[in-house]
Amino acid sequence: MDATPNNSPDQSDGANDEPHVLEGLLHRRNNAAHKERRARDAYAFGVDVRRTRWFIQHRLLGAGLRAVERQWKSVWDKLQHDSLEPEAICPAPILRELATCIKILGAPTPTVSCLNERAHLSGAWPSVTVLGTSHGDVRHLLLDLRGLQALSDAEQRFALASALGHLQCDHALFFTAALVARLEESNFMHRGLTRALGPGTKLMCFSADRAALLCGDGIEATMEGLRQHVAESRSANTRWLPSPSNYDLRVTALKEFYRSDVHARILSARMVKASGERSSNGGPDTEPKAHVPDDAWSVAKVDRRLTQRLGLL
Amino acid sequence: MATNVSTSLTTDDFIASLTELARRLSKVAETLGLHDVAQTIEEDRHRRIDQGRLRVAVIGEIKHGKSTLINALLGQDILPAGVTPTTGALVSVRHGPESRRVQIPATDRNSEITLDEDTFRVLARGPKDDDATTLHDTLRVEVNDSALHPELELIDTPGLNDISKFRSLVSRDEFPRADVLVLVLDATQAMTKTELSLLGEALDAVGGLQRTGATLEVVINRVDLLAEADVMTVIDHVATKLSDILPHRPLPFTTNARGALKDPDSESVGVREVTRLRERLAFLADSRETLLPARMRSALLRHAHLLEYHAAIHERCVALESTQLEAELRAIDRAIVDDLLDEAALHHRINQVRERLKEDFRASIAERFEELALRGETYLEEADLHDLTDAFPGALRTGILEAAHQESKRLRGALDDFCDELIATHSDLAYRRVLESNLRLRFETPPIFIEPPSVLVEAGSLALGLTGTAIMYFGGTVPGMLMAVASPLASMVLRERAVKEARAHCNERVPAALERAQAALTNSIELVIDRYLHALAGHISLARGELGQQLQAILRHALDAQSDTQPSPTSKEDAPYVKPSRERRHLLKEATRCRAEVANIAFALHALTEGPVSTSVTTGPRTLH
Repeated sequence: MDATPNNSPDQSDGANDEPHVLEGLLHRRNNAAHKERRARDAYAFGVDVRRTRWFIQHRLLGAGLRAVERQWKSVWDKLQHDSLEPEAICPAPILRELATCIKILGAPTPTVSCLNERAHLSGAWPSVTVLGTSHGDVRHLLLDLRGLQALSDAEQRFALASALGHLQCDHALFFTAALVARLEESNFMHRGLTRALGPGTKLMCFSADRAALLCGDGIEATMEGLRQHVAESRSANTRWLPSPSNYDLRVTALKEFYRSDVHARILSARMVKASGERSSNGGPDTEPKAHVPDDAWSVAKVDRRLTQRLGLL
Repeated sequence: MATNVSTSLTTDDFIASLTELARRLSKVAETLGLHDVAQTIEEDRHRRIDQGRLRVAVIGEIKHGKSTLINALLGQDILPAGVTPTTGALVSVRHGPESRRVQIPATDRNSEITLDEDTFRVLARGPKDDDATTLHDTLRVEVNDSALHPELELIDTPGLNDISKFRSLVSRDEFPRADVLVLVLDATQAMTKTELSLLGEALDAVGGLQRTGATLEVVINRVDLLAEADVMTVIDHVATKLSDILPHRPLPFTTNARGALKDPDSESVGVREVTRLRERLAFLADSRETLLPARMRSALLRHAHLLEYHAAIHERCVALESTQLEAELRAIDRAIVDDLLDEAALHHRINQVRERLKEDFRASIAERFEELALRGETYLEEADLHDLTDAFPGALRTGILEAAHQESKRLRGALDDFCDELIATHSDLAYRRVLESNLRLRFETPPIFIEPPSVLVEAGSLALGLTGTAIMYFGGTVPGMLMAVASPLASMVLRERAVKEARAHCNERVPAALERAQAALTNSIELVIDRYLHALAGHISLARGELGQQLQAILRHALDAQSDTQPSPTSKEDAPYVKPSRERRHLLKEATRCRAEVANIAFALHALTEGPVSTSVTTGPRTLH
């Protein structure tokens, strides 16, 4: 966790002062992707990760998903024409918030775009939407700035962090598939594909919720964000999005993950970092060590309980 | 903490907020070691809020009759006026219980030396040499006369184009403190280019005329030298020239100050206009309740912006090692002695470097992207399918962002070096600007999308797989053997086709993507250069010729504070790394806090935009405090 993707210019200080050698860049990109995967595996719901991989590699479903990917260019062009604000500048505080979440999760850096007034008024878009493909680092976050500004700090952090969680767990393509199905309602193949993916996409929310908890300010703040997120996804206009599991299950799953050693370690590391900063500003000289309680659950145990509760396998 | 202020404050609350913000700002100035700035803030607050006195600066070029105009307004020959330039010092005229003349030394603004008329007239001409200390002494005339409104203070200034640079500086120093600017023009040569530029400078110093409480009155003096038919032409010329820089077309006063002094009862236009100007100033003095709080807010905002820049320099300075700090201080001392911190010269150098920097970075970015494109082109020829569709676009994006990172790092160095070269020190402003621009590039650089294999390849692979499976289960030996030969061949053909398609996509999309990324990076770098240099120019303008002294004070203050917190020499030799002491960390924390405080004050002042809900104009004058 807390891996720093090295495609971020402000964090790869001194990484490579040599002229760009493409093999070197490929090597660094692969390295970064490996770190991101390791960081994801540390917190994500195992069944979700495996199913996602299975869907993408499946001979038939994979072919269906590649058909969705082939539509990406036209979908993106349509979005840019109809729903995105080409000149919009995302406020620096939101970008800083995203950068902080990326640092905590070790997530990949998305391309951020902003929705226009018409898209906002349509009510069809949540405050943060994930889109992308499974190849080539195509990862987009569409922000509804007006919607985001209406949220509290905790809700905003939940929305951003859970979206990054989706991106890190390679869920972007499933959201794209849902969007393609919405844009081409008459195409039975896309609708069929979305339906076939349903049982898998229901599980995506568990990994994303965990990402939000890791980046959030405690369980209460995360629950506040979750409530808002559920309310947003229940709106009739956002039904096109992959439907998540039910609220009670998500709450229980989050509470169990809250007891995990991963959460304790990340939380502790954040606290140590914060107190270190305080210390360098004249605080006490003794620096607290990262602490994981002895009775913390392993992520495997948390996963197992969730799998049983969901009645899977 | 930021002060929470509402835009619908009552006058009393508004003034209370301003008083509190002035107190906080003055404290910040003291923390930075800028005692003069702190004193100016406090004096302005006292005059505008406690005393409610309106300061009218009479400005203009030499020999345009500024002193004569003030004499005419007072109806008596108080200030020296003559054929040669007579005003060489700042002279303030205000109402007093008895008529007297005093000198206020620059070194102690609270003391007064009473002067006789002859000494006053000599001092008003200013010292013969350019002695900066004597020049900053202020002379004050107190008159007990109903001609001068009790709440008005008239300031006679040396000519702005005075051959002595220091005298001109004294006049310019007065701009930000003025509440009303009276620009005196000569009817025979009204509104020259220099005057227009000086007026622009004065307006900039008072924060403009919109919602700042500042007022500009334009006086065309010596109209008696014009033929009656030419007066309207001159008025029209002046008004036209001024309408370019003012929010409204002005209506100048056409005065004959000398005539008004000789014969105040004359019915000539020039003399009547002097009376009209006197009435106008009295009206402004009566409106001081509305004007002064707005002026106060505007002046505080100006100080806050200046202190924001200084606080950033201070924050970096306290983190420096004392040897480096001493070196910077010596450089500033040298720059002051060598007169390298002249405001106009600094602005000129900033304008010179702007284009040079942009050109340099444009070329360097183009070179980087050219190389990236070349490497990409070579790589495409040998890449396999996975690399083409997956790794290559990601690697290219990494390359783009890395180019942005390298250029930003270089830009930061270049901007810091330039700032060092210009004012002998710098803050972390370049770092912050570069960081912000990098953050944007990081999230706004679009990915390069290469489509997966076409439907034909997809269908072919699927069909091949299904046929192979069917033959494996249901086929005989011959079809099985045929399949064993045909399948790898078909796979190879399909794969080659997929690679060819992907390569074609890359060749089509990569150059365009690189072009877009290059344009975005160039724009971003140019924006940082523009913003940084604009801020630097703003800092220099806000300091108004005092930049050298203020930087000196900040660095000396930081050095003094550090000298108490340095580790002892023995412990420094013993250990390769000495952890900053508690005092030193406290110092750093204080510097950060100071910077945050001044930013909060500026924010709070911006929030006070609407000003008081004033009823003063309709209900008549009231005391401000």
